[in-house]
Amino acid sequence: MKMSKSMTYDQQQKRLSQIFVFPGFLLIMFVMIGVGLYSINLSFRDVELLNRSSAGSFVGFDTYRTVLEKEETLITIRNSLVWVLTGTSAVVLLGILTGYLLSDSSRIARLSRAFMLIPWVMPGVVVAGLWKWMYNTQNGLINEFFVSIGILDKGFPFLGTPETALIASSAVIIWRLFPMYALGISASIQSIDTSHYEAGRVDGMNTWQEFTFIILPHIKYQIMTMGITNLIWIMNNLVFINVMTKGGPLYYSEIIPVYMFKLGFQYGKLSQAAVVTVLNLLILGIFCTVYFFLYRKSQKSDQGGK
Amino acid sequence: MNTKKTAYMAAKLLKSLIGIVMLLIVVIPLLWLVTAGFKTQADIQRIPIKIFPSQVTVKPFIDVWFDRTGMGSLWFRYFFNTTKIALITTVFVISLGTMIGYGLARYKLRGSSVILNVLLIAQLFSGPALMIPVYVVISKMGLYDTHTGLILAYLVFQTPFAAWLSYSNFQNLPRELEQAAFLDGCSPLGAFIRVTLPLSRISISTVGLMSLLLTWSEYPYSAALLENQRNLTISIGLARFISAFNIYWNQMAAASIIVGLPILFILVFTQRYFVQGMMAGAIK
Repeated sequence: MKMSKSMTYDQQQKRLSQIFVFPGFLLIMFVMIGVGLYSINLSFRDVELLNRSSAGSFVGFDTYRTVLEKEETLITIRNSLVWVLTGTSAVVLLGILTGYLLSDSSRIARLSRAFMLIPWVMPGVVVAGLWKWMYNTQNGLINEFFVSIGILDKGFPFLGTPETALIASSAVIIWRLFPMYALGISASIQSIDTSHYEAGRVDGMNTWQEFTFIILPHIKYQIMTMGITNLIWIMNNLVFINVMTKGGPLYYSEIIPVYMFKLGFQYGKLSQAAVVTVLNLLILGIFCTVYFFLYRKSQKSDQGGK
Repeated sequence: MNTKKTAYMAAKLLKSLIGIVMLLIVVIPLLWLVTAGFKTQADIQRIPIKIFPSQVTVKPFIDVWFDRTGMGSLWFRYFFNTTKIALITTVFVISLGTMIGYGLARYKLRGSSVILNVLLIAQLFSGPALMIPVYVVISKMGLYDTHTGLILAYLVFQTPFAAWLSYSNFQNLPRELEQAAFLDGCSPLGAFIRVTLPLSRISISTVGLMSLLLTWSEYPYSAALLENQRNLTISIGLARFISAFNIYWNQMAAASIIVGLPILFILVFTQRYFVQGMMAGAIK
């Protein structure tokens, strides 16, 4: 009697689960895959903003050729590489350093941890506006600081100079992301069993050895999975550049998402923007695969450790 | 022994020093923003800059809402739009995310691990990567420059993460309680509504607050899918204000504080979960 009832319970629950999961999941997949495929379709046509209701005509790889032959495209790709590499490596390095410093239980560390989340949760537009102002030559905090310690004679237009616009912007995204990364690292370091440190001390390890032989192996997957997540966030960031420099001067600080936005909504070349979308999705796909394997591996190593 | 002790002390001092520098790097811009909201226009434009205002004023905060020459004329509108969009999105994201998460946690359906992995990947595509095709599709559906279109986009892009978060929460909730409710005559749906949901209040609110927060400050899709001044969200309104008026930094700061306050409020409740969510390894 009890057996049959619990079986029907299982069956009923199974049906409920299916009803719960599939409609929503299929909706998400339908839209995401549909939209992804649609951008491929769009990239082989010649749709513009002005005739966006028509399907445009099929032009094969013509739009790809047009886009790839533009100087702006090449500069954008180069900028994106610089933006992603500087951004990610700075976030990871500063994040590990700060996370390590935050991982003890001192009062300063606890106080600092409370502040670390704020840059990450603040609206992107607010962060961008704040830093645009701080970079201002007239009354910006950063220029004022450099002038007062004697590095600069007068305010320097960091965001308005071709050579510095991109790096100055990337400092902003680093400021936004590294504290969050540090929080993740410090949480991970705090979860290390203290017996490891005791064993290390018996062996006569110094602080540096403790870091490289005990802490680093423990947080290595954390470093990588969070690193990839941050890389994807940095790669896909639109708001900072769009608000601070709009890709300028000319296109010296233009990165792929900004370029996509500009091509589509300012130049009105939707198909060209779709070409960039497709290329960007391919790159993103590669990083997602890497992320996925690292994630799986870290799950396995976690289970193995228990 | 003594040199070892000095070395140890030096290392400790260095650690604290770097720690304080890092803290200052994070905190100074924030303090700068907060104080700017209380400065007069004259103090804001003074050269060299004044760190401490000669006069504390709340005028910028009033101007944000009421000054007709600045953003005041439309700020109420932006605020209302954003609140509306955020609330509706949150309700849908909570419902859909909770359902998917619960289903995946309770029953090992055929392919549920595949679904979980797909959701994990899908969550990484939620940025502006798909902005262009979404814009064209939404236009074709006749939903361009409507809040419905924007909410639809948010729903699709936010649900994967919400589902993951709920999934990991429901997995920690023992099944036996639902089984007991079932033996007492509840249907599985009834057990879910009467037993599971009340027990998961905290995790469900976390999902909701996350969604509120994401929608509240979202930029790319509202930039791509909205056009009319009266339809804009706070993010876009603020962005336009920043590029149009390069001198009213105190108003910009005041507006930023107004936008940031709800987030700080949310943060107080969800800090722990944010770090967990970010450390994907912690979600099991």
